[in-house]
Amino acid sequence: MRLSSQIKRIIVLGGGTAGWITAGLLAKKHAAGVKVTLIESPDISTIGVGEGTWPTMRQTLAKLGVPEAKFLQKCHATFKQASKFVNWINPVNDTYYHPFTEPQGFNKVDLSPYWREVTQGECSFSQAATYQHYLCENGLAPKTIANKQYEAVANYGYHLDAGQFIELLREHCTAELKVELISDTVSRVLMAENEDIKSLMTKENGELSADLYVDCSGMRSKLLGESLKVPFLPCDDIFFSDTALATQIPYTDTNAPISSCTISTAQDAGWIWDIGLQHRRGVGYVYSSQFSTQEQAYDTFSQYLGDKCKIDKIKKIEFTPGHREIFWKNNCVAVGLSAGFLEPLEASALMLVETSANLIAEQLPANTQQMPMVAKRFNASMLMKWRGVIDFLKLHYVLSKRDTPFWVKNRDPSSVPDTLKELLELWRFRSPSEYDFTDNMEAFSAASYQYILYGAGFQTDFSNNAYLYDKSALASKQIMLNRQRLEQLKYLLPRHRELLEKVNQVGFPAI
Amino acid sequence: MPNYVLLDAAKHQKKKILPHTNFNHSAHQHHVPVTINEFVQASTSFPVVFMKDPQEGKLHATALLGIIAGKNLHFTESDWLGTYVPASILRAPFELGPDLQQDKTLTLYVDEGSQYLSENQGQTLFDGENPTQSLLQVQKVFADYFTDEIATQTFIAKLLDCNLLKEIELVVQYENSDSMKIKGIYTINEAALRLLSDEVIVDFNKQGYLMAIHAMLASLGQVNRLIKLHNGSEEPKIAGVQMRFDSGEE
Repeated sequence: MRLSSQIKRIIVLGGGTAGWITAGLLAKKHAAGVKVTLIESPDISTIGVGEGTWPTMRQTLAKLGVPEAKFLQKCHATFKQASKFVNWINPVNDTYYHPFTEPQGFNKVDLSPYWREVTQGECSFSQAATYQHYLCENGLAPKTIANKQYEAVANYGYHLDAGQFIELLREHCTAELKVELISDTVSRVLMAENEDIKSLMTKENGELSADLYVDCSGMRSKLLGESLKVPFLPCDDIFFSDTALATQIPYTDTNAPISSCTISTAQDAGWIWDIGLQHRRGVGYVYSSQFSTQEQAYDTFSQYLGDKCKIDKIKKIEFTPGHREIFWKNNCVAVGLSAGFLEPLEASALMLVETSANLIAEQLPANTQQMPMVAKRFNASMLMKWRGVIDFLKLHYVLSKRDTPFWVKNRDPSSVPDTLKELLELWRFRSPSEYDFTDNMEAFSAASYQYILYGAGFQTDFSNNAYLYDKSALASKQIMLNRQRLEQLKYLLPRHRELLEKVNQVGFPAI
Repeated sequence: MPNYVLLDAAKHQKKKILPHTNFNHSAHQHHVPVTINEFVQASTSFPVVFMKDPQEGKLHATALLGIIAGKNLHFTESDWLGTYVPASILRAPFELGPDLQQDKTLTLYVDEGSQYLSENQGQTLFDGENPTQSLLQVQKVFADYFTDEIATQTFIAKLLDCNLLKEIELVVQYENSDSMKIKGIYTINEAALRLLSDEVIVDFNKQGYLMAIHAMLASLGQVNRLIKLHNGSEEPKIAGVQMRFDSGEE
């Protein structure tokens, strides 16, 4: 065996979203020099949830070369412009938005010290900061049929049908990107003496080996967890949800408006997601089995669903929030649920897949000798990313004023990571700043933190350093510019459903 | 404010049409539509480009008369600061609009708020039910315009078909270091033009497309003329306009 050899063959284990996105991005960049094979088991089904994305998915799909119109049609996908949080702070009549568009003039002036005064308390932070709040409230699309594919007027990601998405990716990756598909089940993982994976023993295709193995096997983490014994670090002392009930419901009316944001409604022991696709809604209740019996959970869920609930169509998924101690060990790297999962809040799962896959494709080691260094850097970057996601998701819970045991427990200081505690302490006297998030692998930007904090009614006391806040005129100007832009957009943008129907008919223009 | 209504013999029996004195109805138009047979002449004064309708995405041939919205730099009370006046400006106070009686048909509209419409002086439009000689002339102008507009749309469709268009972004840099981006402008992709087959080039030449294409390319230099005119006005001075070309998907 040579000490160092070029990476010539990669096996991706698992044909879910994570597997296909990773295989596709790897093949796109390295097809000329590396053979990418994906092993998909006909016996193991995919998890079938994960229907919300970040705006990053636009770059990912564009990079893979998937035409946007085809993607929208095939995956019954819709445009996601924000997350809407209902009753997260107080149990009734309480709403705030986390829009994807940055506050107006974000790199010129921070609106958070000024918006209350400028708008005389008449509107929320997200209303003052971006027109996207209105677009979501009124069911307007984030672009028009005049825009090119992936081009946005207002920043957007997607809601998509996970099953269809996998089919689209499979077809695209095998037909266009030269990913080899082997439909087979891995029966055994053979290890080398140095604790590398030597090969995968399959039922039909014998022994298959590669220079790098990407574990996309889902929660079981067959390679990284089971074979390489990388420990799982649970975060169940931070996040208490551990069960999800998911279902699909039809629209009552084929012309019903389609929501352009993920609606997340807090419940006594968790929260319910509600995602509008073109042909149906995907709804799920994620809750804590510590604080709710299964019976209570079904009750809560059916109350939300109304008479549309069919108990036999509800899929139950159990999980332990957490992630692996490291994600790349020896010649194996995990992407997707095999690396970890916290909870569906803010659709971070697919974003983590995209980030990991891009990072692997961009930093693919030149040879096996380089692998430990690349792995070390990958692990450091991804741990940073996970830490950022943990803090940001936890922030949503910490700001709640709800008083059922689930929410009280979520605010218990012992459940709040120190990093988040520190930030919250700092933000008592100043707003979240880009300088709080200097690592370029940071998951969420200062803008996102501001939308959550001030959307949730957090009070920063700016009076201590009042001398810093002399940009009131500039802030007013931004708030006014945002209003002007909104007036233009009200006229320009079509209704969400109307645009989707048009795209299905004529597609987007080539230029 | 313009107020276009369907031209009607009964309603407009007494209306008379006045000759254009200056073109102050165009004072706030910073771009106007042009047709393919105007490209060469228009290019002697203005950038001739395609602009995308932001709602429907259709491309329209356009002459840029100014840089900032609402200001035609070629209009002054005393003079027209260009060697060519676009036909669309000369067509005032008339315009084509949908015929409500017949689907997919266009008919003449008149701007009742126009300064060129009078009850006292000028040429009458109708003699009873019948159009007068002056109106017949207007009708001829619009019939030609309609043909030219279809020819222009055919030209644009051909350019799209041959992947000959690219987007340009104009970045206006003010002397006070403010800047403004103008998007939605398209022009000929020179690199793609050079790759056209001999056969297509000959065809383009016969159709008059080649001349129109070169007129468009040459006319981009008129942006500098617009800056000069702009800096002669009271608006904040422009230091320069940078043209950025769309680099494609990624």
